[in-house]
Amino acid sequence: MKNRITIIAIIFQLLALLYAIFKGYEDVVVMIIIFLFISTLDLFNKR
Amino acid sequence: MKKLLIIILFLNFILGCSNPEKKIVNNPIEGVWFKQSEIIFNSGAATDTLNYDGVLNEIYAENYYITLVNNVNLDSVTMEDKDLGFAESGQYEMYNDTLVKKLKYGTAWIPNAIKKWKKPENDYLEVKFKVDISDDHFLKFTAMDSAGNGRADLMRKMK
Repeated sequence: MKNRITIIAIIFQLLALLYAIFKGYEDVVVMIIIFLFISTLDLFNKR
Repeated sequence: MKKLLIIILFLNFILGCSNPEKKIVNNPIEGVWFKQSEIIFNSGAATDTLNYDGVLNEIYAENYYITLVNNVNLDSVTMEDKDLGFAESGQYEMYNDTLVKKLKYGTAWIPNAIKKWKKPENDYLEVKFKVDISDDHFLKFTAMDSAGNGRADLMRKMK
């Protein structure tokens, strides 16, 4: 259940990343990459 | 549009990392315990502590337990330890200060005891103990009458 929410969040972030690249929002791109990294780490949290 | 995207991303990030299922059941008896000593009670007060030289280890998992017992019973002539010990396992449940063991398997005299004393409708022998659990130790009352006379095992947690 928890993983499903995280995966949905990651998919949304990937779409937002494409949009930000397309629009040239460099600061948003950096922010999304950081968020993506943290969200992906959460996927491996087995507890 | 950029500000909206940032706000949505923040919300999305917080939602993605939040933990909706905080299902940490705190069962205080879970863990590995060993018998340190035996405490004698008279009229509800602890009056004596007897050192325990044998081995009594208990492992409590989520709802299963296993116990290993090897008491010391010295032969008065040869001074050899005659006690062969036993092991038992089964399920358990906790009700406030009562530990209910559902003894299913065992070695030595345990299988006979299960057959002899179990209820006919069950395939296990139910044994109840009053317990007093603290952080790193618990008291398991093995015998206690209504006047408060009896004995308890002092079990200490292995770390």
